[in-house]
Amino acid sequence: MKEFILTEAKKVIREGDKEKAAELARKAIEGGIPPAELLEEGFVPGITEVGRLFENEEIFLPELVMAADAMKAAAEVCNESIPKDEAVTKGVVVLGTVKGDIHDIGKSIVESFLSASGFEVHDLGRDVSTAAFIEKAQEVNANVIATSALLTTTMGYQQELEETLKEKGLKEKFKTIIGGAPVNQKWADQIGADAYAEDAAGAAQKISDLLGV
Amino acid sequence: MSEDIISNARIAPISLKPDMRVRFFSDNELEQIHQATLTVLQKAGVRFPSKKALETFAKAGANVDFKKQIVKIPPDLLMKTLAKAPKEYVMGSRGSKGLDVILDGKTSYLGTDGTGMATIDFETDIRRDSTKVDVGNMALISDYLQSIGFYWPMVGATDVAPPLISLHELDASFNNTEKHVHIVTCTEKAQAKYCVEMACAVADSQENIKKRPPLSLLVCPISPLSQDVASLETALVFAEAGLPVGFATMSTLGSTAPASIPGLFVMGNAELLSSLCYVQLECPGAPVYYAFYSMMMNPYTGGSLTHPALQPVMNNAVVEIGKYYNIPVMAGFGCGNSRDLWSWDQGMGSSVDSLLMYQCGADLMPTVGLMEECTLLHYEGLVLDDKIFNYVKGIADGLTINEETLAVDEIISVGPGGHFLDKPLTFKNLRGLWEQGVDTTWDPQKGDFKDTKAAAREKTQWILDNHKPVPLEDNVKKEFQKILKAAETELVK
Ligand code: B12
Repeated sequence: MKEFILTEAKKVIREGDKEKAAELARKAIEGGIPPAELLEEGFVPGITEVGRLFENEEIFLPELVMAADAMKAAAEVCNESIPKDEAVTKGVVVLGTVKGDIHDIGKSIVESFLSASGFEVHDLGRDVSTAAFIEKAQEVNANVIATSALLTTTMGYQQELEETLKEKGLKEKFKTIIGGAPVNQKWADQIGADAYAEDAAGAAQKISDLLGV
Repeated sequence: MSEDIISNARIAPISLKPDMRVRFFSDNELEQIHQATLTVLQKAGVRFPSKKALETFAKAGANVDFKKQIVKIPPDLLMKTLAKAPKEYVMGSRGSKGLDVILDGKTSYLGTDGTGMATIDFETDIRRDSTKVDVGNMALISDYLQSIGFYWPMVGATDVAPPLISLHELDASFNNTEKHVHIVTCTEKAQAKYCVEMACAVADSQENIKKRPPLSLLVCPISPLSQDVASLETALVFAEAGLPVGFATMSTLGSTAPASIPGLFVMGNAELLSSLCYVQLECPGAPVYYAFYSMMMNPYTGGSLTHPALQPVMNNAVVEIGKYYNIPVMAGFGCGNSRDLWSWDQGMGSSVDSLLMYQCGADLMPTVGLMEECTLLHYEGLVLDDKIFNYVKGIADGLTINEETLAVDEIISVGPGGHFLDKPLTFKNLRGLWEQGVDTTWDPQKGDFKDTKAAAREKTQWILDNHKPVPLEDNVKKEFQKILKAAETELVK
């Protein structure tokens, strides 16, 4: 029975069915499967497989996004039943598009990728002020603050974040990663961001490197 | 001082022969698109997260949900309000009237594409962040090239303080070209006020600004079916000053729009009509235009993809939809996916798209010079695209049929056998036929055409070294300095 449920968990993620994933998680936990095991041996291998298929260009982005949504729904149910300090996550990321900037397609893809890679992501959406990034990061005890900027006129807010973190003595507490079309490694070096990534897969890789996971 | 330099700027728009026009839709199909749009506007509505806009719509008789910030626009209100938009108007130059963009529904003007973020350095060939100098250099090249009717700063001035970027783009543009300037990087009303001041300085007076506005702005709704307050507020500052404002939907096939091209048109049309309707409610009679900037989503990366077969359709079929509402249309934001200027794909894309664009009769076509989905500038790219457009202009100008051109007398006089080498028409026309595009690339010494790459570099360098745009009057330059100073004091922390 357990074997069957774990296989089902993988399948439901691959199919990207959010409702089914949450329901399966609830039923499995009620049925006595430990939530951590359900995650680690069912849902996580499912999303890892989807990630692999995507990297190999066997599936399209919308399928990855749906799988990531299903994963989030399943993880939420599992994590509710796991004591906070034992929660299964590779790290906590606060993500958003900077102030004055309403571009969020790239940022949302990064969100899906990070979720699919096992990070707990708090997506603050677009047009997010520096203060709001920091406040949320402190509230959820984040490891990383990730910012997206798509306009030459809004990149400056990524710098503002670095400066504010330094002023508040928080630079050591949160790692930072930046991205978006006008942004590059040179800009990251210039403002003192810990990492830059060109695309969503790169974002997951760089954050893993930053956190050593 | 400025009197010393004679203007060498020219523009060569295209007036297509009506018989050569290409249509994508029958009248009945257009009507179906229109009706579908009305249904979307009435049933789904559009989000306007602005109290002022919601109140304006409510007062005008739209169905407004203040809590959800959704406006549903009844058809009669929509059509009555859109009818206030001028069908024809002028986008002025700062030079002679011969450089004005005259939107009369019959003439198509090509313009540069904007606003990229990176430049392949002309000297070193290395990719770097774009600068204010690039904005000025490309304005100068555009001032020289006849095919360019108006100038959209091709890249962002990333080397100035971010809140001042749009203003420095205008400074570099107006200083280096007499042609009409069009921008997109002004996104807040605080900057808009200074942009208007710069336009007024160029146009001399508020009165003149309305007759020949030297500056226009493009803003975007957020697909699906939402508006951005800051963008709308910016648009109103321009519209109130008499500067033309365009709306462009960037709805993307498969991500922010349905994965069906007609469906994308319906949704994008609903967004644009809601923007245009709003501006006409606030500023009746304000000059506006209609634009689609749609691409397909790259299914693997989520990025914007210039699909070689679909992009020309998306760029050009929309012209008819915009014209259905009697509003000037901007179409064809060129651009390929390529990073390599010398790739076959880049040239192929530009060629197919540009011919179709003229044949569909867009009024404004800001389509030349950028790559990598409108983000990367290659100086020579503009010169190469100019070449393609000169060829296309040759095609689009069409053939004149009359007694002389039919050449019956000459054909009879030569009769079967013989040749035309020494005939009057040969003597009269051969030079003109040759000069139509190809003469500058012929190398008489080599007895062959020049290498495309070398010729483009040479021409770019020549323009940079030799073309002298008519400078701004000294008092306007001083005024610009004052405006930039004031903006810095207010906007830079
Ligand atoms: C779609 C689009 C829009 C849509 C956005 C819809 C949405 N919901 O996001 C709309 C229509 C709303 C829009 C509006 C505007 N836009 Co726009 N837009 C684009 C366009 C065409 C594509 C952007 C996009 O979604 N790309 C697809 C995604 C997947 O790519 P991406 O964002 O780069 O993200 C990837 C990477 O960068 C990276 N990444 C992204 N974020 C992060 C974060 C982290 C932490 C990391 C590590 C990595 C990472 O991973 C992502 C996935 O691989 C670009 C042109 C272009 N080709 O880029 C212009 C563009 C960015 N826009 C531009 C402009 C000017 C505007 C407007 C100001 C226009 C106006 N006047 O109204 C407004 C913005 C108003 C504002 N205040 O923000 C300009 C910018 C010019 C400049 N020099 O700054 C561009 C370049 C177009 C142009 N050539 O003129 N836009």
